[in-house]
Amino acid sequence: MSPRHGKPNVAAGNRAGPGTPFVIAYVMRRCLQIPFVVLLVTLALFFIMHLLPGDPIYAAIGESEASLDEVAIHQMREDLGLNDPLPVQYGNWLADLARGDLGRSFKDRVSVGDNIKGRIPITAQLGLMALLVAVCVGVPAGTIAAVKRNSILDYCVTIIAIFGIAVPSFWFAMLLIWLFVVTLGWLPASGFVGIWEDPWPAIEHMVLPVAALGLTLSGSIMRYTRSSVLDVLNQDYVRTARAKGLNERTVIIRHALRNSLLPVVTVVGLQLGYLLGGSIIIENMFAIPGLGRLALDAINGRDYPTLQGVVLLFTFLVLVVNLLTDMSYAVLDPRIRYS
Amino acid sequence: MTEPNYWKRLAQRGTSRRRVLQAMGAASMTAAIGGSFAACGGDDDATSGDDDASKNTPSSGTTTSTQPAGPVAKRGGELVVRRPSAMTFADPHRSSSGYDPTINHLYAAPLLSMVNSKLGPSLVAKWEQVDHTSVRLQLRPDLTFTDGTPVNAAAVKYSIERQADPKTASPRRQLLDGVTVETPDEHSALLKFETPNATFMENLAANEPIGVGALISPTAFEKLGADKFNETPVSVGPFKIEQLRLDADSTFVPNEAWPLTAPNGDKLPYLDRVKIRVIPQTAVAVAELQSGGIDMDYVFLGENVSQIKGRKGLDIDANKGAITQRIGLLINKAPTDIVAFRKALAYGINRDEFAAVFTDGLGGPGRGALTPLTWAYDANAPFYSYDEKKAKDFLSQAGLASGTKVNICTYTSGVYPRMGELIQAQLKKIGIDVTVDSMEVPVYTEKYRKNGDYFMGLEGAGAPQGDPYRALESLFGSSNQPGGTPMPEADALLEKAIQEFDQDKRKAIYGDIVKLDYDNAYKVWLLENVTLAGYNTAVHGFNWLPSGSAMDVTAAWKA
Amino acid sequence: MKANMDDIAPFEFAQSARRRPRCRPAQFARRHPMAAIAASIIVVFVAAALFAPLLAPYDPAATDGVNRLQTPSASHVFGTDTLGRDVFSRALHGARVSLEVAVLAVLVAGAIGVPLGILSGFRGGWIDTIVMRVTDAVIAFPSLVLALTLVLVLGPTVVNIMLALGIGAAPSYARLVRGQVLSLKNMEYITAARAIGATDIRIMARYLWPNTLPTVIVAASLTMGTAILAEASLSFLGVGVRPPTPTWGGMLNEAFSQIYAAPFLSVFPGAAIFLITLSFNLLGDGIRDVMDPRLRTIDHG
Repeated sequence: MSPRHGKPNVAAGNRAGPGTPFVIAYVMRRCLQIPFVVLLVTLALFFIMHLLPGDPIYAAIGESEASLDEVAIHQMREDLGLNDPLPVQYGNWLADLARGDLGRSFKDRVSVGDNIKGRIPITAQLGLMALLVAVCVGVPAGTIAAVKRNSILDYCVTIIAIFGIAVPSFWFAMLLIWLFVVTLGWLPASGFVGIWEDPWPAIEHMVLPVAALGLTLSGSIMRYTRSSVLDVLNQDYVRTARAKGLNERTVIIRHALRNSLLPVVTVVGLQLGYLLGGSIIIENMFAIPGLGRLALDAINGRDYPTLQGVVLLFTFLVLVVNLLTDMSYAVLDPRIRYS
Repeated sequence: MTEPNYWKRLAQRGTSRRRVLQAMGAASMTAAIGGSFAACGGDDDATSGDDDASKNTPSSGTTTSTQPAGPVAKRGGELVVRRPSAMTFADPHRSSSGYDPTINHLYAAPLLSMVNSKLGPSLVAKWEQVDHTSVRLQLRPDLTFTDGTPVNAAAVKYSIERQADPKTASPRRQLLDGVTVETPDEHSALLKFETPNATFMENLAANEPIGVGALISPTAFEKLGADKFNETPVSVGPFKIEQLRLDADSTFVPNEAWPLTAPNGDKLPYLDRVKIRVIPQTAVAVAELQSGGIDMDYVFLGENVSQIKGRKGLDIDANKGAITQRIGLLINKAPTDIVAFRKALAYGINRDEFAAVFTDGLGGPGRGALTPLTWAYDANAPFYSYDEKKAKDFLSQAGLASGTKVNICTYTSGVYPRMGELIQAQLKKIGIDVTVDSMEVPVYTEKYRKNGDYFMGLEGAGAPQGDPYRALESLFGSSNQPGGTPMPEADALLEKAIQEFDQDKRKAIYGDIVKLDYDNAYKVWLLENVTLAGYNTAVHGFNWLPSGSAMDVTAAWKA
Repeated sequence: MKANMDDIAPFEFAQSARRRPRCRPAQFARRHPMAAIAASIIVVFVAAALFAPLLAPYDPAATDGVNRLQTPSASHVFGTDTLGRDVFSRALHGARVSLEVAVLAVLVAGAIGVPLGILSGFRGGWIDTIVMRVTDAVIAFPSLVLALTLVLVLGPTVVNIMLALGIGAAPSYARLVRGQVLSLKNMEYITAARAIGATDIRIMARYLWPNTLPTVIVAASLTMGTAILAEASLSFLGVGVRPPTPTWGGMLNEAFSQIYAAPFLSVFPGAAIFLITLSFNLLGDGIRDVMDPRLRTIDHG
């Protein structure tokens, strides 16, 4: 698929070609678009949330018989601003946001910003460790599978990878708990210790959640690395390198790997969305007080400000990472330097 | 504790069930005996509580727990208790969760105590029913809030008025309709009611799930404001807060200034620390109990009993009759407005199958609103049993053909969706077609309880100790009916009961309410269930709180 | 006009795909044994799903409280669940619902995503910007939160779950297709078609769409697995399909609470989910190998 004369020499590395000002303009444009997208998302979320059946007040009061006390309910609605019309509520939220205030949780009246800030390091620890493990396992495995294509090793790696993709994370987590906690007693079943507090217990508590979260991730990374390395191995310049008489190892490591890793890096960036979503289930399972559990509790508890805050953060992160990955595409592959 | 073969043996359910039943027999005997003591001769509310305040504790752990009275309490140690979800309010005047009493009562002890359906002193040393519309409370003089300010009548007045204030939006507001507080002197408060209220004192023996017994420090509240007060509440209790995280783990340490002691004179509490861990998944909590990560879980499900019973160092404590599960019926819409149809439903449910599936043999078929935990329980009251023929007869008597469609809504949590499925399957056999919808609490409250969008709702609630007025009112009172159906007969009986100060006569009125329910089949009673606590046998000295679904660990200690 | 292999090959493929199939089953099976096995597994599952009412020995909703949680035996091949229902019958009926949800979710995703992607890639300009930013927004939204919220709003029926999953997956299809179209649209046969006066619509429908098909099919096969897993996750979080309809995700969720008492319960729905996702993935691999070995899937491997 090469519409132009000759292929761009990707093997030459990151060379900013003749289109540099074009690239800069592109990046600027994307940066300006990010706030709009984020606002679009929060607006959509706001209206979807208010379509959710079930009043936030009932969620806060619970199942007791007193949940039908009209006076108390009216007062609570007033306190939370729920009696204002929807556009007014959204406008108030935006105004607060402009001042850096994310509002107060409907449930326990804690500042949403504080809540989120406190939990960022927790989910970050879980997510980054899972990513690290997944990359360290997935990339070498995928490379080997591609190099030894259609061999037994290739099939094994493929099946393990698909196992990772095909098994529900909560089920795998429970399996791990049953094995390592109940039966062997090696590891704790739940809880969280920050690695900055106490490294060894932190790692102990992280092994199972990271394994569960990293499993699917490593599966897709394995598969993606494999297909990317396969693509590169079929390229002309690799054939050239082989024809030049270089041995296989040099070919793979010096020429193929560097270029095949680039798409893998972008895929890892795109998996951020999965990590954030997967953390919801894993944090719930392992009683880790992170952002994922905050989001889930916010949905179930109809805690709109908290949910808005968390989604705001997630969206922003994903968009920034997307921008970075698209930038790397644009810089390295002039064919895609559009829009 | 980590014995794989154990697990394999437990997997053969037959033997383990028998063992559980044997062990449970022992435990339930104890609970039943305790309950029957309460049933024959509770105190008349007109008398005061024990007047020797210094020797009594709010919760004497040794008399009611199923632990033998033998071992001597050891000081020190940390108790780790599991909670399934985050707290909503730490402010004792605003909280309302059924699972939070254990935590709430640690740092906000209620004014009175209740053990075995009997009211006793706590922050209040003694009380006196002056006349039918006023009660005098005499506070202990030696109490201080954790911020150092004194616990006095002014604080009682402040706390009660705050809970009654509509602006606080407290779920307890309705309990305090028509209640005013005067402070004749520093440590005595005079409660005055607009109309005679024979059951009000029960409300002072708890603050969770709904009770008005908690005090807050007026100074602290004025200083912090409502929002911050919820994050750092200041009250008085056997423990004080070391670190409170509403949505994560919290820790509590002893309040050195707590003056109440154990019956043998020991200073309470014994523990060095109580830690509350939030673990949402039950299966994970069971794993933690087995591996020693937690010491106690009182939100325990019957299906996990077999995992604990066989293990060394773990045990189950069952509070029989603490929960009733039933189908609530919408009485103002066809076809559930026809008595014969409701009776058909009542006869059409196979309660033994329910007990087998959902209580693992620990609970029993539901008979009515009252359980043996309360002194008002009448073992001779009539109840419905499974009778397929009668069910079909009543169905045709109601003029309804086979294939009548109704719907039922349940919570999404725990066993409720599966209960819905069992109801669906059972009623199909008598020709009633049931659709089951599971929804979360706020949706359930809105759609079923407020709007009456469903014909049936799966309800479950604690059957507390003591006077069942509140429980009966929430079941049969007009203000609590799904869809707002008026219930004039029930209201009249409830009105009569609340003003009747003779306990025996009140028991008779409660019996009339139960009969009213039986005659009209307002609810279909499914299960008289147990609340379970899984615990590490190193822990002693705890017992069930009045609500029946949480533990009092004030006098707990670890061996 | 320079005859360049790369330029002609896709064009030829587009034409030939309609005239004769490029691969024959036997040849395919010989050259890609794994994909062939995968395809047969899928066929078995689909047959089970279609003929479930005939094959199931018991009514999947018939409870039998006394015989609950029985280990697999002669009378109950997969054992019984917490309410005494036959697991094998429920698994068969569950195949129907799970596959139905997955297939429809993929169709929804394709129906929304592919046209948008083609339009956006081909026309460029402000349409492209808007579509790209909207897909950015949807992708940025954590997918589980989106699905959960949508299902809560709409109600937990099969249709709504499928809609929620489809909407969640559509943006990746749009981006995938757009990327392809960007590469294709400067090809000489497109220019040629324009030169002879073909309208944009005709170009998009006749030339661009068939060329995106291979990529879309591969992505679809992978999305099938994701959809089945997503349905299991939604059940785990409590918003799965309403009872008594059995789904594999729902069965897994129920088995989860019995993990100590009856671990065998989670084996069957778990294995079923794994097998079918595995099969779809392998099949997708095989199709991709056949269609064009150099084809890149931009979203997930």
